[in-house]
Formats: sequence, C-alpha cells, structure tokens
Amino acid sequence: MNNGKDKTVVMNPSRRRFFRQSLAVGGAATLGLGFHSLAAGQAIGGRRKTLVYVFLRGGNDGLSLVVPRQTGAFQAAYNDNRDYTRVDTTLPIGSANFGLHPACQGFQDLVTDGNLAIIHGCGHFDPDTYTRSHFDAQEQVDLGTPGSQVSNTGWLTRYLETAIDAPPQPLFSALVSGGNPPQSVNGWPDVATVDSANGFSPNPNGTFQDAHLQLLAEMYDGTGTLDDAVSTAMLAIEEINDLDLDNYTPAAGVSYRDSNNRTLSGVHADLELAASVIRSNLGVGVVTIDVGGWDTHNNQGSAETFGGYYNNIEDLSDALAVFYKDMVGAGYEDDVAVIVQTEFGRQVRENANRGTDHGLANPMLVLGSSNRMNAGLRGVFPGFEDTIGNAFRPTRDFRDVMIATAHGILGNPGIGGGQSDIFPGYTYKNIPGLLK
Amino acid sequence: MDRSNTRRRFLAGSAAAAVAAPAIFSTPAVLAGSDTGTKAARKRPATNAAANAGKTLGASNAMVPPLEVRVFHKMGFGHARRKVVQAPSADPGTIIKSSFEVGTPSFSGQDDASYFLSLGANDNERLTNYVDQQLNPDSIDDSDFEARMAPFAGEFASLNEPRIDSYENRECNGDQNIYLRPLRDVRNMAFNRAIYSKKQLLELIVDFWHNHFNVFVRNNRDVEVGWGSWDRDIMRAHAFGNFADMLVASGKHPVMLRYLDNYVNSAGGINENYARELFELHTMGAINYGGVNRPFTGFELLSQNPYMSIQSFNMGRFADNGVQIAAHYFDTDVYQAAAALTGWRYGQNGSNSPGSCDSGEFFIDLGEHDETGKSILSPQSNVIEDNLDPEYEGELVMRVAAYHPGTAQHIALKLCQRLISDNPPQSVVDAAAAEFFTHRESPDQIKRTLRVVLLSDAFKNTWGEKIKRPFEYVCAAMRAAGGQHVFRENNENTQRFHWEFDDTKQELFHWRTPDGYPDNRQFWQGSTSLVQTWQNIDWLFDRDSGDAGRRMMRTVDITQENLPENPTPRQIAEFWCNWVMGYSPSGGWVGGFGTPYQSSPTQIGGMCLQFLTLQSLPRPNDQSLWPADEQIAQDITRDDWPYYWRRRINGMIDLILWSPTFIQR
Repeated sequence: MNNGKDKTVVMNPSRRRFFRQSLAVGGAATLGLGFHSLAAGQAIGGRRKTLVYVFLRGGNDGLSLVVPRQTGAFQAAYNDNRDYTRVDTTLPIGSANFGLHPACQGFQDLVTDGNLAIIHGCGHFDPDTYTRSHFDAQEQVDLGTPGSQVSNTGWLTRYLETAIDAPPQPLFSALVSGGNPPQSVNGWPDVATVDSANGFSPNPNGTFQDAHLQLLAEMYDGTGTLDDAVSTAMLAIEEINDLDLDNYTPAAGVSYRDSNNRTLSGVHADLELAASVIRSNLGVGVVTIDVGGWDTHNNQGSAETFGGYYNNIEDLSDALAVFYKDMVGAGYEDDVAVIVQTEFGRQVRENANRGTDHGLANPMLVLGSSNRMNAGLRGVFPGFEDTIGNAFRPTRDFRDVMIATAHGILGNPGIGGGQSDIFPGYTYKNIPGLLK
Repeated sequence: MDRSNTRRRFLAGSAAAAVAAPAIFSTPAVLAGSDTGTKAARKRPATNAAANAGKTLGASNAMVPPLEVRVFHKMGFGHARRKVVQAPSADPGTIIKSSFEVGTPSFSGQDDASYFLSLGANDNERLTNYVDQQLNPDSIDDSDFEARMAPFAGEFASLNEPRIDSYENRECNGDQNIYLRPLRDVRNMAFNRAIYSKKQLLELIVDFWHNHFNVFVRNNRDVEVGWGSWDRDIMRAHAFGNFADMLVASGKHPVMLRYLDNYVNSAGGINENYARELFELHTMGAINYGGVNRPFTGFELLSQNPYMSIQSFNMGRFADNGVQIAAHYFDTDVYQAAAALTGWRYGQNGSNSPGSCDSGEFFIDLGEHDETGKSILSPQSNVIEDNLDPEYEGELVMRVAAYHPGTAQHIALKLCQRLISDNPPQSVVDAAAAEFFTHRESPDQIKRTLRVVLLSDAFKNTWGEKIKRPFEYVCAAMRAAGGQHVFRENNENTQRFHWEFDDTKQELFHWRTPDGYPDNRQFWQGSTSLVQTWQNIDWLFDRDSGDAGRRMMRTVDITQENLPENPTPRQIAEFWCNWVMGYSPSGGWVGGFGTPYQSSPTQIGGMCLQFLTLQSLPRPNDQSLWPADEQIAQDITRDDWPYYWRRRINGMIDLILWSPTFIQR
C-alpha cells in the first residue's frame, strides 16, 4: 500500500528539539501518552486509504439533482408535482429516464471519467425507522444506526477501528474540514478539526509562539479525552503550518480557485485542504466535510439559472470534480473514495412557497476508482406511485452504500458473510452493478 | 525510552473495547412514568461516554477548585476578581498562598469567591443563599455593571425601542447600520453582561433559551430588525418565568414566524417547518418522537390526562374526562399541528421602500386558516374542534405540547446538561422534570426548576464534566484576567473582536439550524474551536496593550497595583495563578524562594515560572533569560528587546487561561 511513494513528514527540526528537551526535564511529572510519544527523528504518518464523507446538512432535494428527463418515463408525474422547482433541461448520464441538474457539469464529467456512481432511493429502509426530523435523521446516519441514537461511536469511528492500513504513527487519523466534529466520528480520539488553515495557532507568529506550543503540549500530556483532543490539535498546528496551503499545487488541469485565480471558500476550500492533507501522506484515514444550505422550504431556487439551490449544487459538483480529478492526476485514484449523503430527501410535490418539505428517500453519490466500481446510475428509483406521505419510499438502506464503499472500493477488511464490523447486526444487500 | 507505539496501542485497545462493549447498543429508558418507552427509548441522545471507556473525561492535569470557585464557572461565566484582597509581601521568600487567601468579608462584592464565602457558615448554606439571590436578579446590586455602562447609555438605545418602531423605522432602510443595529447591540450587550454583570445565572440562562429557541439572526431582514425585541421580550422577559407563556410568545413573534416559515403556512399550502420544531426542539423533544407512522392501536398512552387540571387556559376537549393522551408524538401530530397553526401572520413590508414599512405586528389571515377539526397527541378524533378561533387554536396546540410530561423531561434534561453534565444523573433530571411539570402553570416555573437542579448534590459535587464553550470561555478569561473593554457600536476594538471571535465557531445567534449550538464537550473539543478560542484570548491581551486607556485587559496594571516593588518572576507567577484561578491549593502554586520550576507544587505554577524565566524554552534571544528570584528592576509595561516583559506576562497569563483546570466547568 505504500508503493514506495511515501513523502515522509518530519517535524520542523527546531520544534523537535523542544519536545526532546521537555521529555528530559518533564521526568516524573509528565509521563503520558500524548504529544510526547512523537519521539525525535521518527517518521510521522504514511500513505493510506482515505474515505471522504461529505454530508449535505438539511435534506437535499434529490429530485432536483437526479432529474427525470422530459423525454423519459417519469416526465408526466414529475411535471405534475413540480412547477417552480421543475428543471426542464438536464445533463445526460447514460440513462433514458434521468439526467443531472444543469449546474452539475462537474458531476457529469466524473460519470464520463468512470469515477461517479449514483445510487437511487437511499434512506432509512425499514419503515419503523422512517423519520423526517433533521436531527434524528442526521444523528442516525452519522452513527450508522437507523432507528437508534444510542450508539456511542459514529460509523466512521468504526470504519477507522476496522481499517488495517494505519501507519504506525499517523499524525492524526481523522480530519474534519470545517468547524466542529460531526457525530460520525464520535468517540474517535485523534480527530483534527481545521476550519481555516491561516494562522492556525494559539499565538500565531508571536514572540513566544514556540514556548506556548511546547508548554501546551506538556499541559495536556495525560490520558483524558481532552488530552487526546489537545494533542491532536497541537499536531494539526504543526502540520497545517508546514502544509503551506497558499502554495498547494493540484494535479495538472484542475484548480480549486475561481477564474481569476482567487481562493474560493466553502466546499472548495474544504476539499483543497483535504487534498493537501491526503497528498502529504500523514496517515489520515477519514475526512469529513459538512455542507449546509439544503433545507429549502421556501424559494428553493433550483429551476432558475441562478438561485439558492442552483448555486449550492453547482459549487458542490464543481468542487468534487476538481478534487477527484486532483486525486486521479496525483496517482491517488485507488486510495481515495468519497460518499455524498444527506439525511433525507424532500417531498415529491413542491409546497406552496416554491420550496419543498421534508421527505424520505434520496440518491447517494459515490466517487471512487474506476478500477473498483462502475460509474453511472444504480439502484431502484422509488417511483411516483408508491409514496409515503408524499415522500419517495426508500428502496435501499443507506448502509449498503457505506459498506460497498468502505469494504468494496477501499478494501476495509472488516466484512465476512455480508456482515460488516462497521454495522454490527446488519446484513449487507448487494447493489447490483456497482462494484467491479 | 521507546514510546513510539504506546499511544497507538492504547487507542486501538480502547477502540476495540468500545466496539465490544455491550453498553453501546443498550437502550436506557427515558420517559420516566411511562411503560417500556419502546419508541422513545431509542432517542436518548448519544454521548461519548462508553466510546471512551477506560479514558477519563477531561485532562489528567486538571485540578478541582473549591466550591466557591466552581460555582461561578458552572452557574455563570466564571470567577471574577476585581480588587486585590490583601497586598502580598515584598519578601520573595514568603510568597505563599496565605498572601492571596480569599475570604475577607470586607471585600464582599469585589471578589466573587470571597463574596460567596460570606454568605453562610458552610457550603450548603452558602450555595442555597447564592442560588436564591441569583434566581431573583432584580434584587441583585449590579451597580458596578451599571457604572461601566453609564458612559455608553446612548449607544444601546435600540435595546429599549418598542418593537413596532424597530419594524417601521429600520425594516425598509437599506443602511445596514440601521437594520443591523439591534443585532449588534444585543450581541455587544450579551458580552458586556456576561463579563461585568453580577446577574450571572440570568445571563447563562438567557443564552440557554436563545439556543433552545434558536433563530439564525441573518435569516432575513425581518429577523434582524426584530432582534432587540426577541432578546428582550421573549428571552429575558421569560427566562425564569413560565415555559408555556414563553413558548406562546415566541411563536407569535415575527422573528420566529419568519425563521420557521409559519408566516406562509396556509390551509391551501401547509408548511410544517414550525410545527415540526415546536414538537421536536421546543417542547417534547426528539426523545419523545414516535416516528413517521402512528399505529392506530397499541401506541403508548399517558396514565393520566395532564390537561384536566389546567386552570389558567381553556384546554377545550383536551380537558374532557376520558380523553386519552399519547406518550409520544408522531408525524401525524406534526401535520395536524401545522394545520392548526395556519393563517398566523405578521405585518410585512410590501415594497421594501421607505415609508411603506409595516409594523411586524401579529395578525390572523382568516382566509388562510384551516377551520376543520383536528387531533393531536390523542387517539380520539377532533379533539381540536371545528371552527375554533385561529389564534386560540394555535395557542391551544402550543399549550398542549408545553404541558405534556414529555416536555418536562426534555427541558429538565437540557437544563441539567447545561448546568451539570452531558450525562446528568437521571435522578436529578426526574426531580427537575417533576418540579417543572407540577408547576406548569406557575409564573415562576422555570425558576423553581432551576432551583432543584442547582441545589442538587450532582450540581454541587461535579466538576469538569463539561468544557466551556467559546462564549463562556472568552468571557471567563476576561472576568478572570482584568478585562475592561465595553463592547459597543462604532468601536474598532469591538468590531475586530467579533471578527476574531467568529473563528471560534460560536458567533452569537449565528447557528443556522433551529437546534442551537450543541451543548456537549465532544463538539467543542474539536481543534478549530480550541485553538481559535485560545487565539482569541491571546488577541485580547495583545490588542492595544501599550495603551493604558484602550487596552482590553488590565493585566500589567493589575500586576503593578498588586506587586508594586519590583517583583520577581516567582512573585508574579504565584500572584497570577491565584488571581486567575480564584484560589490557591495547599502549598501554593509555584513554591517558595529557590524552588526550581520542575519542583513546583503544581504543574501550572511551574510552567508559569518557567515561562517567565524562559528556562529550557525557545526564547527570542539569549539575553532574555531572567532568574526566578531576581527582582525585575525594570518597567514591566515595556515590551521591547531583550525581555519583552509586557507580552511575557500576558503570555504567562495565556497559559493559565489555556490550562485544563480553567477550560473546564
């Protein structure tokens, strides 16, 4: 799995000296498992597979992303239910009945390249677990336990526990590109959350910055959960300062910036940080990115050439296309997969406010290596006939997509007989045609 | 020593244990008083306790302060010391804890811990007295706060502005200095009150309710201009009052009508957004959500109808003898409640041009109201009769939800999570819920409930179950280390502060979704919030630190006032540990004359001494070393080569504020 391509990350030598000193003088007073375990001169990190988990918070209107074509079988039913949110012109993706929202040129490119699969009808499959509460649904998805919110570990936590390709000393094994950790990584100790890489230090460029970092590391060198959190933060500071994001060079032909070469915020910036960290081979196994703005009860703005939904889905599609092309171009295609998920879809019929209320089933997106999966549309579209309270009936448990990605595409070994260690008690149901 | 794999092994071990632990998928019962709680049981909020099985919460190096300090961190925004209690000895050999011991009654009101200690003969008596004072904020002498604010009284006029004036005069004005002013004033005053007011519990609970009824303030102009009224008329007016009254007032307020879309909810086009959050977030909570489909038979019922005894409001058929009430709510209840709430409107401006602004006042659009009978929380049909008055009907729905015992459990749980622990003992939650439910019509229902929580053993005896969120953390830092800045409009430091504070991810009133900022330690332990909050505190020290009139923290002033005669690094370290922490452990923080920093009685004391002397630390130059017990015969307000004393002292105070003892609550 190393392929001899590792870029070994060695910490800034002057800082390494501080740690050695503090070890010597700390003596009996500080004997912990935190920061100090990074002994001087030791290589940190290493190449490993990375699962990027993009969560569209608020409930994406899947019917505006994967849209019935006006020449297809669902045209009449679609037009009957959608007026102000109707999308008439779609981008083809090899399906007679469905195309992509016109703002999703990036997604269309990824399908063409063989790197994007779309799975219809995902959601809480068991009718006893249907929920239209954002917070229930999100929590249950993050924990990977539909119908239950009592797990103390997130599904990505269990993914990390069962992945065997962690290098001996990852710098940190999970990166949250954003403000705060989602529940999908609940209970995992070394989660670095990095929102803005700029000046990411308690005392950036201050006269006593290095003294501060050394003493902070000693203060939190114990065995508590806060000790873990702080030592991870300290390591993230080291690494982020070394990354030099301003000068990050993506693979040829792609850019995370706008047409004037200006830095973009939001999901572009989050994915650029992810790409930079992944390509630095630090041992990060999971990256999470939250994208908000999908709870479109009012003036959804999907059908226009501009609008809230239009802009959101365009940003997402463009940024993910740049990211995955960057990964492919840099030789990481087989090592990186992305899942794009939301807590539920929206109602079939738009409401009186040109928006859509909470629904159930929704397509999920998987970006992965063309060596391991087939691109294009998969799964069973729920249809307009058999709805549940004006919502699409889920035809696929969302855990199937997580399992197919984790074990099938990224090769996490924790599976046997259809039972995944990531989802105890759940039996995987194959997604026909997805995996190679 | 080879420690290379120790940490990984440990983590892998604990992770494996967590997976195997049967507790992970156990289902604790939630709804006390109901049967098995099959539906509700799966809703107990997930926490990280078992995932970290074998790990202690918090940090190994954290210390436990005495109750007179703990109480200020748990019931408010931290311990504040405004005046030195006793001048320390100038003899470096006698710097011990007694020099700074608190408890002198003559300084009551100046020093939080000594004030608390003056309130009784023992901890229980003092706690009871302090809690009862805090629960009656009108009786608290807040003259210090008022004096600080007096020079800026005119700056906060929007806080007292009648709501109708805000809408009529600000709504259609395109100048953001006009329409954003209420938000800015509320936000600035929230910091001022949290840092300088003695009504600490009130401020903490106002913040609690803002998050409970969370509204993203930048949602819409109608929300922004109404923010002064929202804060004053809803959050502050009802903070210690009656929950049902607060709920009804919030639901009729233009800010809520707008944010959760009830203002467009109509018979011909139901918008369920508000009705859903009414149940899920505001009242019964997700812990009492039954699911999408209500089975027609066999769902759980309350053993008693909770509405029959209601006197202060006409509960209609809900109060009829024999009407059965469900223990949980389902989607059908949400839809029916949404229909009951149709036609609720507020006066909106039509054309967005000056002069056409409307009032923001609540009204009913009869043509948009669904007049048919409905039923919520009951197997009986039409418990809500046909053709009810639309305003009455909506209020009835709110009160049915507010008086339900599930709401008592939900609010009690959240209050205990705010004040005690992410996983509070069920016994305290039950006791608080019982008080909340029993007094559901009382004008002081919330006050009574808080009293039960605050006088519980769990409140008194726990420490470090939570960490301070950025708002609490930054305010506590300013309270502890001589903050003197008054946050206000048209002030550059205030403006810059908010830019910085935004990076901590807790910009006030800017959480977008209606659930409010999370209240659990895992969320706020993320590196972004930790590092950016530390940075924000460091920024406060730096800002205008060379200008005695404008500096935001009076740290060098306090040092000079209390250590007037060329103090040594040891004296400064001992003094500031005591000042910030609010107490001294037995044996002091740093150790007496000649004690090496490695042998200090406390880790943080030793680090402060090490930092001031720069022994074995990266330093700006080789001339900057200074012996621990040598008097600093220099102006410590100077900030230049080779010693940088001002930033050095501030940097040492940073360390105390960043320490695991201070971060927790």
